[in-house]
Amino acid sequence: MSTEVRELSYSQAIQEAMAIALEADERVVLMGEDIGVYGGAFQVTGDLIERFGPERVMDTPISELGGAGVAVGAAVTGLRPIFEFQFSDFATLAMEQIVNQAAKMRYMLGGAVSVPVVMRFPAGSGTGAAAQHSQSLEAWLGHVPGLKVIQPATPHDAKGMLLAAVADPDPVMIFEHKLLYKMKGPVPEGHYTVPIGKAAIRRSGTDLTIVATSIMVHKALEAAETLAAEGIDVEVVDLRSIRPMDSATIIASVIKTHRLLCVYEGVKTLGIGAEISAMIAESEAFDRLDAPIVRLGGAETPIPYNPELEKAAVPQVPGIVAAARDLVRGVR
Amino acid sequence: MPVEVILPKVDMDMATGRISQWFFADGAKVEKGDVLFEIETDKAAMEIDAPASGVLRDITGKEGIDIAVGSAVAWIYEAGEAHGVAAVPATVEAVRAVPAAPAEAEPAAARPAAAPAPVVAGGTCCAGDVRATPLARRVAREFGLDLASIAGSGPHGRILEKDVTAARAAGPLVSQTHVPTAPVAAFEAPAAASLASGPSDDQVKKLFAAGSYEEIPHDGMRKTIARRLIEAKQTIPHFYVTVDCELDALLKLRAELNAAAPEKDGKPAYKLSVNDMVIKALALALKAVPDANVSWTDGAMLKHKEADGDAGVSSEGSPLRRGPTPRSVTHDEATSARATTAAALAALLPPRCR
Repeated sequence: MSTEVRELSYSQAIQEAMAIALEADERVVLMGEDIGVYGGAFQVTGDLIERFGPERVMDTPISELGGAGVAVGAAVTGLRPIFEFQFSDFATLAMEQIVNQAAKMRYMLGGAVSVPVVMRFPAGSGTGAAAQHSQSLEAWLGHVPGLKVIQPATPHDAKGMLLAAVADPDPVMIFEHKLLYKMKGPVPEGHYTVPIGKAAIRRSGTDLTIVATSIMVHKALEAAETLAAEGIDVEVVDLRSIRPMDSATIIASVIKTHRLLCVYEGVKTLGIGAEISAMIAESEAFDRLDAPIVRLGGAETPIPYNPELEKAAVPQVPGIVAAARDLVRGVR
Repeated sequence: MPVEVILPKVDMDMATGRISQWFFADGAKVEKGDVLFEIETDKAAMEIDAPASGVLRDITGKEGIDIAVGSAVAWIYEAGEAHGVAAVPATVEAVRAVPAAPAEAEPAAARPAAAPAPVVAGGTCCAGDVRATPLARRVAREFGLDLASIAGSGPHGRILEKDVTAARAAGPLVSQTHVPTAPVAAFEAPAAASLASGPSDDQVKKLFAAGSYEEIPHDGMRKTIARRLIEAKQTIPHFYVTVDCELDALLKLRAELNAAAPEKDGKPAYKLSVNDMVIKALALALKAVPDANVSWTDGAMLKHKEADGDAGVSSEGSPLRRGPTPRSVTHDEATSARATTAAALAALLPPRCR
């Protein structure tokens, strides 16, 4: 195992993780629509079919329910499938297999089986793909006991968390923001894992905690730079895992900063921010709050096709800066 | 369904109100628009109309107690509509509980200064009319500070943690502002908590002889004025205006009085200072304007029947001292001259106006 650090894009990091998993364990197989010869809708699997052959890198028919069913069945019977959805929106087609089968089988069969399937979901808006190809449905699956749901925000975590997911005995859902695929960052070579269920503090600060997910982590960090110039010291927590959620890290941060802003792309109402807010209100951090908790989430609308409206429908840096400033200055 | 009669919000800052008078009794027939009751808020008295016609029942908002805005204070039933406990929404019980609360049952009883403002039943409200963040509440609790006496710098006057910390830093000043006559001992109390909060009603009353004052309960406006004044004192920079007075007449009188002093052991029996004259003037002023001759407690205004003169005496190394009798200006003289001065003043001043 090497620890030399070079830069890879987020999609390269995922591809490398899958290659390492395929090499290390013959039970690992890739499944999904157009992941073989075409290389995947976002070219994440790339040329893996040439390296590992069509028996381990399998194109599935254009039926998410069927493909997911094959993956879940294969996981129950001894393989470790990594199933790619072309768009996370199509999770809606496979809900029976994900929610009713994968999440519950271990429990309903008294622990006699486990379902070590990994499902990858290209998610989020910003690509002009309109309402049916731009959603952030992680909170849907985060609501289901029996699933683990993660949102790596960096190339480093994308690789390490995918390898942790492959090693996990239970179904792990990975939501990959489509705008992150091209983002570059340091990625160690070789095999390593990043634990599921552990948040990361991306920036330490004293005035305000921003808990952000996926691409919003980067927007929050950018906002934090602007705010730092105004003398506002922001702590940015990258949630990374929404089920299980690392409440300890968030609570400790809020106890330190006394203020909380949640930033996530999924629809604001009944979303991740609601869960974090309630968790804080129920915790020992409650009476450390010196301002109301604020959530910035997706608008209460299907993602619009018009690029300007599409941008306006999810949190952007200026909105994060304004909300954070108001919170710290006691305007709200 | 009976129609709820609620205590309405009639001014922006209003969190609670008192019903000063009901114009209808339980069971009375009322018409929509009839003046049902009068409420007294921080600033005004308002007449409240019946929201519907029918029979007035379940008057739970008693006269003279603090009631949260939005609380149901009675119900109006349609003629012939069944009237029973089951039909009455649950909030009635909460409101009914109010008169039984100790703080309200004995309005004249002293409450510790650090106790929160009287809790108002009726649902939507928190502790009194105080708006504060959870952290501010926690810190105030730890410091033993009364949130009601702290001005909030947040939106809608919300008290933030920094406001509590600032109030704590200004603690001793707060005490002095509250009660200028507090004894030295009060300021030497060990804990920061007791520094920061004013003396309790009991502590204030102990400074005065029983029966030497009358207790006048505060109305909402008086409490608001007091709160605003403390806010102003604590949060707004002050400057003070002085006036030069020509005291020629007073000095002439003083010279005449001192010249008339009988001889004792070859020395005048007393020598009146300008200070003594000022004290007498103040005492006379208190008699002339009895409304100024009062002491504040959270529960009531103490209106004194007597006017006591009082002067600070400086001496080497000792803090300011206060005493019940007028004293001369220096420590040395204080001992020797007190008796003579007091005697001279006793001759000059009306009884009880030492």
